Amino acid sequence: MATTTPCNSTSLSTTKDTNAVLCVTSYRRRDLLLDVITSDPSVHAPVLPSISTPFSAGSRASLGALAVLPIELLQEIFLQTSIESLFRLRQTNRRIRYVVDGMHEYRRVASHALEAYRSLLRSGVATTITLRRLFGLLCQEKCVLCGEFAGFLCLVDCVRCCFHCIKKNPRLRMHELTSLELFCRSAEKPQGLAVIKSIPGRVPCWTDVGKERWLVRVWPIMCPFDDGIVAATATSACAPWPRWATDEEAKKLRAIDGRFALWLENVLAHLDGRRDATLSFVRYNARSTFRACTPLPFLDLKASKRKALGKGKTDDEHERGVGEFDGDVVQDGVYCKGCRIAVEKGPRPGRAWQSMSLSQRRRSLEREKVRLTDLEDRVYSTEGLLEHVKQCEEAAKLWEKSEGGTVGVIDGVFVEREGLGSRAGGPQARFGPYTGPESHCVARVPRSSG
Amino acid sequence: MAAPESTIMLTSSDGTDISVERQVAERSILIKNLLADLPGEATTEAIPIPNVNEPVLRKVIEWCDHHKKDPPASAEDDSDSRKKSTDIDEWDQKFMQVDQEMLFEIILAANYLDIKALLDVGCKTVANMIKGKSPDEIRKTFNIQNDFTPEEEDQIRRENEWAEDR
Repeated sequence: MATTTPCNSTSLSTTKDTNAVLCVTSYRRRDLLLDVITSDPSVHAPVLPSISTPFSAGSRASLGALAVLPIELLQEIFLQTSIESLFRLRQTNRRIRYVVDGMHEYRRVASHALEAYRSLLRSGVATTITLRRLFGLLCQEKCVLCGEFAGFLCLVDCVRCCFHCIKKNPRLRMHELTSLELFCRSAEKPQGLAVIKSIPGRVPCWTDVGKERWLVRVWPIMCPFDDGIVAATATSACAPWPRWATDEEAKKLRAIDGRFALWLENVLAHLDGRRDATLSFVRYNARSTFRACTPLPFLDLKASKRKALGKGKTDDEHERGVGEFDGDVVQDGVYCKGCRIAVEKGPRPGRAWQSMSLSQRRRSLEREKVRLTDLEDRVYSTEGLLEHVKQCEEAAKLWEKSEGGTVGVIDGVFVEREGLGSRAGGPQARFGPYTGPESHCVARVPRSSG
Repeated sequence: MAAPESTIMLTSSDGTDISVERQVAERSILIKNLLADLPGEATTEAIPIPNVNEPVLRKVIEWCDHHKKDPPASAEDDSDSRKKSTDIDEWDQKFMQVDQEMLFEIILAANYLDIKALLDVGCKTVANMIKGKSPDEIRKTFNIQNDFTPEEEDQIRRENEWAEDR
């Protein structure tokens, strides 16, 4: 069966060269990073030498009272300590720094999820999430809501979620809480709503200017420990929710800001369970939700282990996380070029188009549009993508054009720029070449000249 | 099969014999395995616990007695469900209101006797002691000495700037 001519020798579903398939059919998107909480690489630069490695010189001082506990027990304690406490602990003494950095969970979080680490610290959520849980999240692959590959962390409930859900799922939606002081008294306990501080993103937008902004979640926060969603009261991670306005204050508010008051009433009704708050009449700004999320790559422990064992590390060494983690398999997620082409082509009439009535055609087009917008944000793990392209029509065409991954294909502007471009030329121009995890994948196939 | 009310003797490191209900003592995996290995009549002899002194052992037994009705933790209970947060139930919180030295002794004893739930409570209690404290306050709490050089202090300042919301 094997032919020597490269042309069309292997179909997409039978080829063994996964790297070539990835090169031809997948691309990255980095425009999303501009919307969620991220920081410029230059911000991370000063801490890189010390955030996951102890100071080199040996320690002279002891652990104090903690010295009675063996290191394993100390590390067991530190696993259950909040990220914020660990960050402070590392600043107490060289020896403690050494013990904390000796935990592979800490080092992996600090090296693979530095952005999430910083976001948690900045938003104050780091005071409630323990190292064990953050590490668990890092090793989780799927979105809690849709079960697809996900590359983001929602700070409000500390769950992994995908960009599609951040954009579309009302459960993750955040609303801005402006003019709060006008109608709310300060109070002692949260009332079932989660409130979080909004952190300015990298692209300035109007929500970032001015005084501190707070974001509020109308849906109950998710209990991240169950698969299901339960109505939980706001955790202490979120700021105490001011008591609701009295009737008198509500009236005043209505006079000032009718739309907000309406929203507030709807929220209250929702909390009482009287009706489902759709909030459709409030102009919802998706940016607010983005401001509560931060990128979190996926650390594939199983694949990392295989790789480490292949490199000659022993099983035990890997378990304890001895040495560097350059062999760790970390994924940001990749997108399908074929789907992008389908999206750009727009909805197309189906086979039964001729026999449809006008209203049927309209409905069919609507459905198609929804399907395409879903496709737009669909992200895959590399394994997931390899599975997906077997069914993707446009990807198969691309593969054919590339003659089995040997000839470069012409990418659209969107793919070339790695996402939605701006006047400045898009994320590719903004961030420079991709250097994140697995940068060896999705390298460009050199375009054949002529 | 042992009758549920059967008692066994434990000898602490300072030589005191303490009689305990077998069911209570079996919260400790170490003792449970030990008893399982011993022939029936041998359980009348006192079991030496060489690493734990009397006050600590009594404290641990008090905890085991209170939690004897708890369902035994399954072997694969490493999932997050048990470690929901730093929440500790009220009785345990009161139980853990002891001085620091005692707390560490309890943690050590729980580790030695292999009582996972008690170890967990102990670790959480220590974690809570650290919670919300500045490095200086942590140093004071545990009597830790600051041994950073000025350059290292500089680096720590940079870390703090990094973690700040800007």
